[in-house]
Amino acid sequence: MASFVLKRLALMIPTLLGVSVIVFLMLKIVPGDPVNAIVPPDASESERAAVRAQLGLDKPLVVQYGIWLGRVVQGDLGDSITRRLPVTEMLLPALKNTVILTAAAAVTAFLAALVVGVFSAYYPNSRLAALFNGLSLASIGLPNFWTALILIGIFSVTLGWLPSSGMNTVGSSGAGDLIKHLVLPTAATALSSVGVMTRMVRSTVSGILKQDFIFALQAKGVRRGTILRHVLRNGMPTILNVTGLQFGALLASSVLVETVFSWPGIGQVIYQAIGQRDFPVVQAGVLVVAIAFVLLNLIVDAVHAAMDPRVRQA
Amino acid sequence: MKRILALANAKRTTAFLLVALLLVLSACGGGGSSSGDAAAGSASAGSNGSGKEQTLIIGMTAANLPVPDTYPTEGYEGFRFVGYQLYDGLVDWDLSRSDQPATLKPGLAESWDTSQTDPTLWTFHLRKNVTFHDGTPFNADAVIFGLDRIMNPQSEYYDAQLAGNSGSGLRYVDSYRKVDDYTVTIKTKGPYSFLLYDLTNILFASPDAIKKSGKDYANHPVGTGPFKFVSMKQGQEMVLAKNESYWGGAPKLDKLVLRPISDPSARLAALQSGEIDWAEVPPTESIAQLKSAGFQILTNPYPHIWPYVLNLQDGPWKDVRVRQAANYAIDREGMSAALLSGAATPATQPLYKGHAWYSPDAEPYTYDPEKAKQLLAEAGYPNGFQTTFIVPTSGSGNMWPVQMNEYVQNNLKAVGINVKIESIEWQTLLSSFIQGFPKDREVGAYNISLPTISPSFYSQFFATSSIFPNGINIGGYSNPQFDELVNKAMAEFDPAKQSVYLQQASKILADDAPWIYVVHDLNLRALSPKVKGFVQPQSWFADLTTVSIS
Repeated sequence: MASFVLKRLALMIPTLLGVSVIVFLMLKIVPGDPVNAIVPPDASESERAAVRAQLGLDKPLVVQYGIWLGRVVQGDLGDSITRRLPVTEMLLPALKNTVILTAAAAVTAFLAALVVGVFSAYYPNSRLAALFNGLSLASIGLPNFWTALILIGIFSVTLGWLPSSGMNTVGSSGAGDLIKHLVLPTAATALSSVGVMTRMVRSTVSGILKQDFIFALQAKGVRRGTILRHVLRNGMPTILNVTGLQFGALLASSVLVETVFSWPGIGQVIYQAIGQRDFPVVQAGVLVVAIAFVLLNLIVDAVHAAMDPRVRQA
Repeated sequence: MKRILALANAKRTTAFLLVALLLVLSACGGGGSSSGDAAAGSASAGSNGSGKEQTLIIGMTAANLPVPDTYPTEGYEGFRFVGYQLYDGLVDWDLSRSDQPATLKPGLAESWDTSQTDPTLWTFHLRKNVTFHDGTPFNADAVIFGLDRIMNPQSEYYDAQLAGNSGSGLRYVDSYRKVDDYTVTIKTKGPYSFLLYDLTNILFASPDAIKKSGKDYANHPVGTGPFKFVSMKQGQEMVLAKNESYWGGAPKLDKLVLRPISDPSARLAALQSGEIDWAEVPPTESIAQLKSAGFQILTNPYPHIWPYVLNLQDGPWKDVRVRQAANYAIDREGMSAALLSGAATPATQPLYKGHAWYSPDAEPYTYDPEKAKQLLAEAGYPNGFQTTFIVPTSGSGNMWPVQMNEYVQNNLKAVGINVKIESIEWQTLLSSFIQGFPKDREVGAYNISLPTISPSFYSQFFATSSIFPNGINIGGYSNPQFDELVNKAMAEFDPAKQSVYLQQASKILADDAPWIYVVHDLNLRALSPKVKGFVQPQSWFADLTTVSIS
């Protein structure tokens, strides 16, 4: 197991290097200059050049990348161009907020999908299952920023139950307050994944239900609860795998949800930084997301391996 | 063995889960009570204006909090809510009236004069007994320190980025000097009466604070303004507190909280649910609904214009008749009323009616498609022509660019001008704009909103000497008569006479139509009914010292 994890960790390095090169090049190809985000449009060319030089943007691309990489290896992600803060100071708190939101959404989506999926697999012909089926299809199709606005309209504006934006009420910082702010963004983020995961749980479980060993258990007169346990144990590797992948998708879909809810997460930080061509922030932000994604995959694989000896030995 | 391990694992997991559960529970308990306190606090603040803390929460359109240095980020919204709240300039804006455009007033300089013999020499008499929020006295040394920070590359505290921000405002400054503790002189490169406008963008920070915080200054800003910096959470909120000893009179509010909420619908929802008391630019379609719910809807014109900057170098737009035709083809009233629900007012020259530089003599462009067709025919385009406009998809000051550009496209199509709209992202457009019109293909215009606060915009955007690449007169407009008027205005120190020259310059700009003038924004904002005492000025900025919460 240890060697499995180590091997996977070593593989992360080329992956992340590749990501960083691609992001770096993409930012340089995209038109737009960070200098324009900070100087007024009527600034003279010499004023622009001075700012460009101060930011080190006048050096050749390879040199810029080399300098950046050298610093990253030492744990320095550079300074934001527009915010004039160390990038880590912006990204780490934002990352924490995104993890809170994504984890809440993943747990919600996982539990909802498990309950609804198993139910639909057990009672495929019930009306409720048909309803769930329709809902899950709809939830895959609905864009989450739209769902977010509808949720705000209903629960914040009309009913006034839940806050519509931010992480905390001004002047308070308690966990209860945080949870209240978390409900709507979590729902909006989780919804699209719930659909995908429910369908997957349902098809996995109904596949298992048709297998011989289930009939054998039933013939032996084993209690339904016990059978369910066997079903879940057999289905879990697939379900966890998809959950892991969906976690990644949730991380990505949180960008728009964070913008709508003014949730101060990493998606919002990157979104703004792209608009302002704040290269160091975009680069570091994408790198951090890539690391999170790769680590997540690793964890999913490790859990999978721990549960399924066939994977471990392969 | 495996079994025992599994058992141990299970035990460990259970223990871990228990601890986690306890932590969550205790956090909830603590959180519950603290949020309860906060709710009680805000409730009492709301019900009782006197004695209790008065907090105003503003929802900004910016995507993030302005960096609170002396030249804040996030454009003029940054100046509005952070710059002019934390700091003062030598010259400030008088924002106390809504019935006339904001004028200049003494700020950290009590008064100023220019030399009788040398019009390039300005003397500023500084206000005495002013201290920065950290107790550092404000005096001539603080002014010189502040100017060195953006103008003197030899200075230890010179900041090239800040200089790039504010530099264009100080392009005409030749030198500056301390005369005594409360007197400073500034010498300009030629007679330059617009200097006072430029100085409103130069704000002064405590030299001690800058020396102490160094690179980290923007996290600990210290000025002389009506509000003091308290705290800032990236992407979430900035808290400012009343400066009890503000030289201009302490604000009524105890606390000012700024929240960046860039999505207009989200901003509206936050206002409607009471999370903020003040929303900048709510969606226009919500105006009627907000009004009927008792919210205060404020509008007022200010020096802002939403135009098309035309390419006069080649193609059909070279002909003044074509440019006038386009100006006659646009239904400005329809756009302002129907499309924008009254959040804009028609523009037929750079400034709006009622502004000191507006020319009442210029023929206003009415909605007259027949006249437009006739002018096009005279210019040799009886069947119209094809052109491309580069337009933004969003961005500060650009209002609702997608819908508005489609509207204009339809108007122009009706007279035979077929516009191909090329929508590009805002930063890309800015980069492209400052490099002028593309040489390898036909582009007829850029749609970009530009501020007309300072009279220096006349020379920046229209003077022959500013033609690209010497400046950002990218259309290549040139009219010697206009240039002469602007130069006269620049050298005229009597504001009334200066305005006369600028009015005449405005008339030329209206007649020559180097731009298609479309609308002026009306600075739409919505305030909760409990916000009292705010005057909506004819300005990009806002005076928050008079605001209170009832």
